[in-house]
Amino acid sequence: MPGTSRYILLLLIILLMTVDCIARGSAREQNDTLDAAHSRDNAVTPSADSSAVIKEKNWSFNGYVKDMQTVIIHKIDGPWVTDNLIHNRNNFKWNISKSFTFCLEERNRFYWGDIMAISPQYADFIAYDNGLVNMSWNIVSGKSYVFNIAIDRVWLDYTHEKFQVTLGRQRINWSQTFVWNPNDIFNTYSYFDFDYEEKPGSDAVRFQYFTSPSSKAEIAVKADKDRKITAAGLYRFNHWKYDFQGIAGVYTQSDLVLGIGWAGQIAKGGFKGEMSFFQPLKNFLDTTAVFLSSIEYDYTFRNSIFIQFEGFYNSNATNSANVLINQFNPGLLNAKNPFLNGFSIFANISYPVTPLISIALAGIYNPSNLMYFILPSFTVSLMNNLDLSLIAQSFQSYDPAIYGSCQTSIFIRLKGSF
Amino acid sequence: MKKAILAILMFAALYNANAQGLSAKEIVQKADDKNRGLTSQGTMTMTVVRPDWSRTITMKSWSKGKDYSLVLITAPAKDKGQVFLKIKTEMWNWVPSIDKTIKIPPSMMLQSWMGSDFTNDDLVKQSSIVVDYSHKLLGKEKVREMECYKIEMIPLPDAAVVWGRVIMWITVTGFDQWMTEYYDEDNKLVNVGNSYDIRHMGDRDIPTRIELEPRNKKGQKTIMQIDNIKFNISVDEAFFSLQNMKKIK
Repeated sequence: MPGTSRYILLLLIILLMTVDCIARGSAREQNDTLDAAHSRDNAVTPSADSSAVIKEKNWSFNGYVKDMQTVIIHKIDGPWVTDNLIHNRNNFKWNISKSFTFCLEERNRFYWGDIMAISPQYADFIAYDNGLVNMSWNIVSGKSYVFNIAIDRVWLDYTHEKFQVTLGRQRINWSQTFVWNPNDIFNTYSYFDFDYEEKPGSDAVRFQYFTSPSSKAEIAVKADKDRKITAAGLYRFNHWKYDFQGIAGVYTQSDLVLGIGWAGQIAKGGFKGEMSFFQPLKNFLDTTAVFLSSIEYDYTFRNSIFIQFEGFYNSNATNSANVLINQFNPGLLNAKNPFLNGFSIFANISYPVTPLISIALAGIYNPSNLMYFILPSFTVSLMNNLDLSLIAQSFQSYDPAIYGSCQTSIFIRLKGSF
Repeated sequence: MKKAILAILMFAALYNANAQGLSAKEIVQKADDKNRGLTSQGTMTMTVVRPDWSRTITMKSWSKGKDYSLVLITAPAKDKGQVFLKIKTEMWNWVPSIDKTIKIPPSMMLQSWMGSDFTNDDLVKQSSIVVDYSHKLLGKEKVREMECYKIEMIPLPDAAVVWGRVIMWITVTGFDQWMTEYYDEDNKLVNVGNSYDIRHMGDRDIPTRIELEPRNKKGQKTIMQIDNIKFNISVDEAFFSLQNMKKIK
């Protein structure tokens, strides 16, 4: 089976390239005439390529190097657990032709510290890859360290006028709101996993057709580690100064999923929302659907203070006691149960003290599970491409049963971008 | 240099002949048309200057009329690839690393853009110096050697403008926005904008450096340098789309 799917991928790529060659061949004559006309008046054709005016190289390479020190504190007098992560990310993009683009992004992470010795499964957890093809490897590991190389984007894109198809590991982001994303059924991520800025990708094929400058139709099919298929369509359009979207499909071959989402404004502030129903296909009529909903409002004041509120509802009754572990374990995260059940409220206030320094304080409260989270952060730009962040995540509860697992994590991160 | 002066003088004669009896609105209209062109494409460097430090952002921009504009950030590295798209009164931000299109609400439009003294609104020219204000010609004044029309602009009641009043000095010879004072609703002077370095860009001579200085903050300013710009290029409305936003380079 894995062999077969690889052949299908290869065949699709060859097919797309052939189509492109043919299309370019027939377009060449037309272009020659157009170019002659354009060169007379410095014209730019209405395409993404601005090379008519400025000659560009057809590839790009960028990324960053980060070092993050983590301290996990259960009790202030108890043992503190520390670990350090040296993290390099490389993004490579090649604009092969006007129609074809290739992208490869990979990350190299070296973890070392106490946490490795305390939780022996930590190395497996770092190597975890939910994709159809495993592209995450622990190159070396020992009692106190692990070095991992992972590819989280590798795709080939073909665009012909308003049609676009992308094949390979990619991020299919259908989300609108900030913290919880019921419409993000392809690559669920955790808000707490802030250091994974790019968020995970999916092994998928994605067809997009842009019906107008601000609307599109989309179909995406992905296969995960267990060869379960998620296939869904999206239609997004713009009306009354709102972006609206509807989604429908099958989630991991087990549930019918229907959802809506929007992004607009009320009283000049951003008003966004997402809702999704997951109905199990097995015993379709006898089972109750899982309903997820998030609604967000944000407002920026004249003095640049930014406030943001998000309410989330999760009807999934699956045990959420291990929420903290789930949030950091990509293997346990899933679109049907992205956070604690019941209602959760998120509030955030941030302020750029100067253009170089920004401070923020966020909180999450979930009354059904008697839990709350306090998330302060401080970022300073040291140089044009060098940032220092101090971030804390404090997880607390009133519930004596889980009180013991309450903890505060402090992260100090230095990031240099190139 | 002699040639440039001659050219300016010739322009001056030409414009002067045409400018006789222009109303305040017509002068502003001419200045706006000149600055904007029907369409434009350029590359710019913005430098945020503070007493102890400075930061530089470079970008490419495309525009068509006052309804369409697209800005691609090309540096610094951490923001590279971000795109801002404006279609009529709506604005979107494309963040390529997470494949997310974020719709920018109006309250965010008036926020400082990427830490500078410019707002999102200044950048994509959401509001129009022609349509959103009433204009009054206060006379002529010399500003940094240039003879200018001094025009008072008061925002119309329902216009999405942050200012209470704007005074603009527009050069008589070239219809360039040479100096601008921005007052808040309490008639307190907030920002002063100055233009410098008239150079030939595309088909016209324009100031290529604009400095915006907040009045009450010493040693603080934002410099917008036009590295190159072309006007009246042929660019379709379809260029300004969510699809192209993700493909632009």
